[in-house]
Amino acid sequence: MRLILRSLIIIFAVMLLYAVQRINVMRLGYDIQDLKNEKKQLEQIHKSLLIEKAALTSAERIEKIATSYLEMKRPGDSQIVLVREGRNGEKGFISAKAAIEDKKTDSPLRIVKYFDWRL
Amino acid sequence: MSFFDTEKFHRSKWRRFNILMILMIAGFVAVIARLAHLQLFNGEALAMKAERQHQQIVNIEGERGVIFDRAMRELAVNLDMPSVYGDPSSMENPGDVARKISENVDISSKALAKRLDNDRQFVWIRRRMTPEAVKNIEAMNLKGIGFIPETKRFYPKKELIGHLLGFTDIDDHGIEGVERYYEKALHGKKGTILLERDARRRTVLTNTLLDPLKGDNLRLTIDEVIQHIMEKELAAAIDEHHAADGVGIVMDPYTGEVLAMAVCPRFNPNAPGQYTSEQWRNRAITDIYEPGSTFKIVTASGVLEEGLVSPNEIVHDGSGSMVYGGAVIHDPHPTNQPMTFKEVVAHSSNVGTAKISVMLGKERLYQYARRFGFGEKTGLDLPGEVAGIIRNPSTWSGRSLMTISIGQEVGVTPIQLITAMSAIANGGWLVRPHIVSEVIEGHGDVRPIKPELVRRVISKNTSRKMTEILKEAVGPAGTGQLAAVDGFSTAGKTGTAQKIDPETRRYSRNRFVSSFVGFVPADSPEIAILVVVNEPRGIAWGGSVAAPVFKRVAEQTLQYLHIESAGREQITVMAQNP
Repeated sequence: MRLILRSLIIIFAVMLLYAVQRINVMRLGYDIQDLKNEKKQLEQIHKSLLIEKAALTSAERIEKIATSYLEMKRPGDSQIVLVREGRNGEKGFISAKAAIEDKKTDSPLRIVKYFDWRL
Repeated sequence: MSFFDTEKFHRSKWRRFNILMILMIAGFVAVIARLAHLQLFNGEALAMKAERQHQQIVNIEGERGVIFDRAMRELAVNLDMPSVYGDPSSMENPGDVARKISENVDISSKALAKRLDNDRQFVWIRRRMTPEAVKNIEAMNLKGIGFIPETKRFYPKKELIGHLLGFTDIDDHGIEGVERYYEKALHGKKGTILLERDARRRTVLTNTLLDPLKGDNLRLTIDEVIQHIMEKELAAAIDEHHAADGVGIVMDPYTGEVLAMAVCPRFNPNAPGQYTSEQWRNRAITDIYEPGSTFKIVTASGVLEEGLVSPNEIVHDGSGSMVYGGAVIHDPHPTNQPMTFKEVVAHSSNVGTAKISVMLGKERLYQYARRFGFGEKTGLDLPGEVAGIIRNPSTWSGRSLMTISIGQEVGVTPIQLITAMSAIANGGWLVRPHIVSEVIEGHGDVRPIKPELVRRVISKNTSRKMTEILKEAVGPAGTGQLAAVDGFSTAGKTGTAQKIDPETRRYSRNRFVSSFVGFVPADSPEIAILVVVNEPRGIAWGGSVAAPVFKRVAEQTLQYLHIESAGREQITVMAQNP
């Protein structure tokens, strides 16, 4: 009888262990799924932000804001100073105003508010 | 001695213990017997039922490739918009489910209940829903309702480049434009995932059985900013001249890369259903028109290449009309003075051009037209391109030689004309225009689309002479003087073609196609530009309607591309620390 009793206890313990493990696996499964969902949501947010950025940086929209709300003007050809590459191949940039000042000329160039797509 | 120490108590304890043990063993035996019964007699059927309840195989479409412009700005992207489906066979009360979700899926509960009233295992309820609506339905945790992740194509630049990009249908298949031509590359491949669910239909685990493959990304040759400049200026001209529509193209004459291709009026590819199929059409490649004087570049190139005239040779006495083959050809503004070949082109003299076409002859004129690519598709990577019309000389009438030499009796597409002008600009080579510069494969490999030379059309020497002549056409005495770009040498040709009146079937006196095609800077061309304005009202000369558009587009594009003008002030600087 004792042998039967011990056997039953062992079987019960094994079953209990299996059930606990199974519950743990289930709980981990839920955790993994929650994290996957969170990752997916973050990816969706990232993607929607990229799409929003693409829509907001539309050339059409930028020009409309620049010319209508900010009252910017497109510079004429004579109002542009090209800044070329330096002697050692180093690329640099300075503002048109600074470039004129550096050159110390009496250039009739008038610095106006302007925009450049590449800025 | 208490009762608990008595032998009677011990006997009673063991008896009860034995009874309990027997009951437990009986219970275990009963459970094992039931398990055996289930396993041996119903095992297979029950296993399948359990599998159906706990596991679900879901097919996922591979995401469609993204389309970028040449500076990697997104032009066509994918929005996550899951679709909801029903499994009526597993619903306890389809009518109740319909009532609960009808508001979120925007379908009446009655109609939805009818749709769910069957024993099928899959019924679409609504495709591509907003994330908010999906979240609401998910929160209800309804049995028999499932979701499939899907995407919807979205064009963040809206109308910009709409005609070129095209659009997709509800199943993400390309219907028009680049979306259609590159359907095979853009379309992703289906994948399969296995979902394990608990009794409350919550997902416990997801196992990927087959990875969905994302479609290839495309990098176009189009530049969003140049496209915007062209669309803006073209729309302004159409508005100003109350024209029916227009087409504008900017191209790199050396590589055939199309930097901008505008068709006005525009359409929004995010809502193609709001427009007719007529409005979707990319007229730059699907519509043919009589080019008028812009076609004189073919005649002029031909006589120069054949050595029949030199640019400064007098070829016309300046009279305003001539009769040939029963037809009378007029010059709208006769000079009544002897004209050199260069002046004939610069003034766009019909009579002078007709005279030199006689030197060339019909066979050679036809051959040059074909060499410049007229009468055949350019091979541009867009669907729906047409070849245009240039008849075989054996079918020409007595006057065809002269009329064709001035751009009548031929049908060309805008893309053919700018490709022909590019051949003059680049030293004599016909290049194949293209829209896609790179295919970026799903795993990151980049497959570049290389520029392709089709054939040599004219010699470099003829190309140089033609450039000088076309510079005259944009000079102070030329018909295209309004196209001259400040600070840059400009070459080009105007065109004002009469349209056929469908009622009289003769050339109309008040319906024209005004155009200008040219390149800049003339001596080291960076861009070729074509502007075609259809049916402007009032003044319709190509030099008055289309040439100013060319100028404005060229000015802004050269500025944007940071191309130096001849007289511009330049300063060399070393690197500056911020």
